[in-house]
Amino acid sequence: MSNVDRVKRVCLFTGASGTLGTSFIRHYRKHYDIVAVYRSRSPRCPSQERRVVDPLNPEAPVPENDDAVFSVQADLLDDADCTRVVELALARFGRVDLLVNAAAVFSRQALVGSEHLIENFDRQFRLNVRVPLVLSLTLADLFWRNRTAENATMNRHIVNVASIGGVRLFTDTRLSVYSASKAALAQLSRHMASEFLAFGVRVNALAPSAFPRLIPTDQVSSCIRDLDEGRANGRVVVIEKDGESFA
Amino acid sequence: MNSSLSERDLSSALAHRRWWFAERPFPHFHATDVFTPECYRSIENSVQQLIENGLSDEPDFDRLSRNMPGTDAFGWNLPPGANGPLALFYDQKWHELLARLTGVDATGDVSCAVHHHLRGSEAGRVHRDLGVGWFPGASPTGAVNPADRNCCSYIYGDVKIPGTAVHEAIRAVTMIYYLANPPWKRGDGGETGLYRYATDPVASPSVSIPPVNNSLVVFENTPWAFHAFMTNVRSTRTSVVLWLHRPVDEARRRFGERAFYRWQRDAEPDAGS
Repeated sequence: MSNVDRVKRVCLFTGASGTLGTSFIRHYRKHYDIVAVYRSRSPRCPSQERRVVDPLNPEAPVPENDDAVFSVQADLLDDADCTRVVELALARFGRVDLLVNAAAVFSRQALVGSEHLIENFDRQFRLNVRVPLVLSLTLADLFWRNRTAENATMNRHIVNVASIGGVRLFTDTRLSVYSASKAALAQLSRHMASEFLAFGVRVNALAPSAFPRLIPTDQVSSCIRDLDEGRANGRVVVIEKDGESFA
Repeated sequence: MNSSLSERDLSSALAHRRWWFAERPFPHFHATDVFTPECYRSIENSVQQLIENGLSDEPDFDRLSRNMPGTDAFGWNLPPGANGPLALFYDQKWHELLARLTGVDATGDVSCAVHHHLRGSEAGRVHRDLGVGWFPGASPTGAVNPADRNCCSYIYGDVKIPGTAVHEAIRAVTMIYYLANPPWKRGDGGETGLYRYATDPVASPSVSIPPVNNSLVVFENTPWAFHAFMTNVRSTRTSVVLWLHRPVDEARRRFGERAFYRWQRDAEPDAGS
């Protein structure tokens, strides 16, 4: 790991303008070159699109602009945009060492008597399950699968952000479809871990409690960092107020 | 708060020196907690007093009134030589800050007003601010020169005091500073929408700036600086709107004659405009 420690890892992070993305970028942009993927609101951090200025001396350098992220607007529901995101990341940095699939959507609906339930089912499964898979496969196809030794040396890694609702049953939440999508993502992560091992890329999933309502968002971003620094593979890490455990 | 910054460092009025600049959909600056709490309170109290003086449906120099073309909002124009906290916006240092920030070689001509939207005001059109304004004096001097509606009409240039020399200039920088509003939350509306195209729906901006008290948005007026008021569904929305100006010749050279507009004479009110 001594070589790895000297280089700034490249992280492709989806859902970057959400609470988790904001926390991760705030704490770890010194450690990663971050490709911050967002749908509508650009992340509120320095990037090629935005920066901090001193209103009384607007030309002066401002230290807060160090470690700016590379922000990319994309509609990940469109497969072509998934490909574009990966291509942009590779064109900008020449590699991707960590993929964090944090973009997600949820609809709180009862199964019976809810309008647009199936339409929302499709949307949730597409963004919460299919998109992480598409991005992972695209990275594998375009970059990772012929670099087994390099991947292992660079400790390359995918973190899929699932939910505690995907590994435990919480009734009366009207989050059945969302929870099912996260259960699918958790199990898919285990399978990906098994298959991606062939070319030296680790895959893990997080199953956090609701953040920031029940646990601090920083606890979740810290867990991503810890997983990335470690060697775990095929784990689904449950994050609760009292601590972390494996599902 | 002292009404003039001339004897003070502007930095003592600012709460911090970290504003955001964003490229999209067009270059703009956004800052929250702009002034110190003490400074903000004094400006807010001044505007609150103005609101409490009542609203007029007829143009009125002394009150918030329906004096602006194309909007159902109430406006009150800050007169030249105004005293009190709002005079900060006519201060040379404030003018310099905005001009330097945006990189605009401004003339010193400046127009400033308080805008007040009742709850449920109509959304504005997606537009840009490249209009002509008229000012006292034969030509720009570079010193701050507030619009003086007792002297000449800001939008038509009609001279109200015979023999007064006037000149025209083009709106170059827009500043919108939000104040005296209830706490804002998503869904309340009243944002300033920023758009890529003039044809974008008002309700679907690329970026929306919420009317959070003591925050502001600043941008250079170009033919592509499309923005609009988004309807305020839950509460009133009040702001201070200010324009710096640039020479007409420069605007013509840079953008072409057709890029900027001259106000058409119609039935629109002029007393306060």
